[in-house]
Amino acid sequence: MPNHEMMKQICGASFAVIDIQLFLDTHPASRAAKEALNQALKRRCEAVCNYEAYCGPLSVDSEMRTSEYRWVDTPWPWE
Amino acid sequence: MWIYEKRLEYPVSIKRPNARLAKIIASQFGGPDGELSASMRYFSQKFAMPYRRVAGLLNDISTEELAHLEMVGTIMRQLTRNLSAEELKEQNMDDYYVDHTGGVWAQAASGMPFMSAMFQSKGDPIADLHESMAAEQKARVTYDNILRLVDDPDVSDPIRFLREREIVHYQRFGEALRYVQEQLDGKNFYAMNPAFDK
Repeated sequence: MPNHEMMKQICGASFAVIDIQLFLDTHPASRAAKEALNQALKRRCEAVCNYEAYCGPLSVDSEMRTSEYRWVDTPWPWE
Repeated sequence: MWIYEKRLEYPVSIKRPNARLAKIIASQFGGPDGELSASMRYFSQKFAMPYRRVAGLLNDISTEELAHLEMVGTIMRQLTRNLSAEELKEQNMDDYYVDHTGGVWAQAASGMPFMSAMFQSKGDPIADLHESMAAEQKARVTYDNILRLVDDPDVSDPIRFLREREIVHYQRFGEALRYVQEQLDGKNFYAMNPAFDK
């Protein structure tokens, strides 16, 4: 089942990735922004791994963790 | 290519149904200044954009707008689920209900269906970026108008998030426009169309 706190970590880190990525699209030479992107990506990666180990797949990529198909077992985000 | 991630960009959890509000917020799903229109506008414009960083920006904002479309659809669904036909009628949603029941469909608050005539892909970087900047401002105003009609914090919180993103996107498109102008003839930006003329 989705864990609220773990999902919050993913959303926070993912939002940072999206926002910094848009900034870098128009400021590709900004070293500070690139460093911030790397940090946010690292945080996101850890948060996603942590979530998927307990709560089920966030994307199809993590289906390889299990022999059962779990994609349709956990709630959809609009529920 | 896209790979779906099973989460919303920003959480939506509405406890009190309100069909009247759902019908108004529907405009940000399928209305002229809504998220579907925004996403398809930037998605369409990216193909002819000759500057790689600007095409990237159109691509990435188009992608984020799809996540916003999903949030707005979620708000619509959560505002109307479990309401009876009588309750929908009392809340002035019987005309929508007769065509779509509890389904989410792309239309403006006025009932006008979504169509590509709501946006332009002109094939000219300056025209397209002005179109995109205007789209962000129009969406921002629509969210401001919605916020005046909302008194439920479960609804206004994600709506405020979406409104803030319009402002950030407007800023980024403005920077992209400045970049495009820097690549052109400073004495006459309109001497040629870099997306068409050789």
